Amino acid sequence: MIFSSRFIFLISFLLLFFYSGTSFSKTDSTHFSADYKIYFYNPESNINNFRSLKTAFDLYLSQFGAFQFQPFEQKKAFEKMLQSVPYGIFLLSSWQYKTLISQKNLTPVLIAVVDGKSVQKKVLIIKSLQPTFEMLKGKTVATSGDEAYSRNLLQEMFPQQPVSALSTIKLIFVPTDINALISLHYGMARAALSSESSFKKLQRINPKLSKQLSILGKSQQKLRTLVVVKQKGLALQEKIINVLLNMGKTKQGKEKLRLLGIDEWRPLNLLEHKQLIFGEEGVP
Amino acid sequence: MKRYNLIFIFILSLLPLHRAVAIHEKILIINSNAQILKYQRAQQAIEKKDIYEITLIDLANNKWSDKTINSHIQQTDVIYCIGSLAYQFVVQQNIDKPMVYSDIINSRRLPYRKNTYGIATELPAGMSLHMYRYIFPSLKKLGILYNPNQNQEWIHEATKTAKDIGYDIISQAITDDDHLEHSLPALFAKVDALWIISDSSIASQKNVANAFSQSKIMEKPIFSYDPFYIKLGALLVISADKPAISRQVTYLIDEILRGQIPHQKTSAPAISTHIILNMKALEQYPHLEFNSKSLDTINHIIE
Repeated sequence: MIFSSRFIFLISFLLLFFYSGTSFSKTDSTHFSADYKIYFYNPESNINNFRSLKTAFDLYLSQFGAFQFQPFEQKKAFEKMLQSVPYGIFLLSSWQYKTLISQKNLTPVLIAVVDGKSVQKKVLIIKSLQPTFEMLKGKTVATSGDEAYSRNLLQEMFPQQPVSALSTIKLIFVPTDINALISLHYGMARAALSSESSFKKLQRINPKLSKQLSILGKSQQKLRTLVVVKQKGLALQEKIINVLLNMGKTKQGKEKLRLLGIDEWRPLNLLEHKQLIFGEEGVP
Repeated sequence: MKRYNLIFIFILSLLPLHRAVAIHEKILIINSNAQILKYQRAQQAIEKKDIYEITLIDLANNKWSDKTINSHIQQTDVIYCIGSLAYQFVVQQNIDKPMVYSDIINSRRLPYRKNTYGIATELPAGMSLHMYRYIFPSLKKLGILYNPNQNQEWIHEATKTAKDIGYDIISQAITDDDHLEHSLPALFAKVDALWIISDSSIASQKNVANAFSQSKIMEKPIFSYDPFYIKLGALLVISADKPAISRQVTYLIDEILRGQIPHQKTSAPAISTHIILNMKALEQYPHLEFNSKSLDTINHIIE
């Protein structure tokens, strides 16, 4: 099989151009701008509220300097950005941070707090009063998280189950935990992944439905969303971290944080740092 | 020269060749009118998946002869109908191929067809009610105007779910426009908010204007199902999330292609919400308790 060199170059160029073009399609070219950026991706939610998030945060941050908020819809694009920019601030889940921990220049500095807690548990709720794992095989689980995150949770909840059994579970993606839980009422899913606090919310909203549901699986305590700095030490970063830290102290700032589902930020303590490095074990 | 060959082969090996081998299942999309934006988006959501061999028939485009359409229907594994015209078209063909549909308002009125599964365009009443309770926890009484010929069953279901959540639904059957005009003040007096549902009783411009004018006079908010009402001053709009409907459709198609009979009924409800909150309107109701922790479930905030 012999090709002329010109032909090979032409074909190679076209192929690379085409495929690099498609894989970058969800990546924003915003890192070329002079503004300092805060990048955000949440694998725990499928809600498309990016426009509102961007407007609200840009407006809030503009009081303090040339800062911009950049939410991401896709994990791949977010991580590509994280790798390509020389510096920046990233709001990401602790689960995602652990998958990126090999990048030495990422430093977690703040953690999200909700109702005074920086941790949460995820639960798998099923509409049955005598739940067993067998009930999930080949069935659908509704989740507000992305695929990788949700599959990881299922694996963690059922460590004794073989991958072959877990992979029979189908996922259906919905925007919020409440949507996932209510889908059980309509028989659209066999089970729902949710945070423990969302399940408690449903118990308050609809006690009758809640009485038909049981917890089939529980995750370990998970640290909440982190503020992670890439290339620590720049003066502007200190400024923006202070802005984030103070958000929970004003009515206006609090309102913006609620869009992310959190009450406030605070610095990570030693135990939380340890947990990020060594895993959940041994953490209360 | 050999080196160039190696480079070429290396680049070829980087390409996602699985696309070429995975595409073998045939989907026939019949679109009622591909010029209509919502139908166009529904179609694109399936095309974007890039794993099926798709043939598209746009019924608004006259280039298709009955013979060609029939031949496509014969060859396909699943038919996906977008909009009610497409659905009715396939029913007339009298061919036993599995069919999935979306974007049909009030699909229960359509003629029954075997081997047919669809996702409703509307949210079930219970989904909206749960969200109302979460966002505005202190509301107790919701008013609804409806045409009994159209929504009697829906009202029955809504009232039942509302009871579980601790709501009283005060529904008012409407027989004509005059009736509505006279009923509005009395209904507003009895409820904490008016819920405009998809119903012909309140569809006319005059009736809608009347409802919003009464809402202002009585200082009671309006909730609705269509973003159009936000412009008129509705406080909250909860509709079905369109991308999520497309995901449900894809899921159904996948199930059928895997040879599984979907567990759902002929028409399954949309289960994902798209919520618009009108913050400007919220300021007009200082006594209404708003759960600011619900903000992370809102897709769009009007400020």
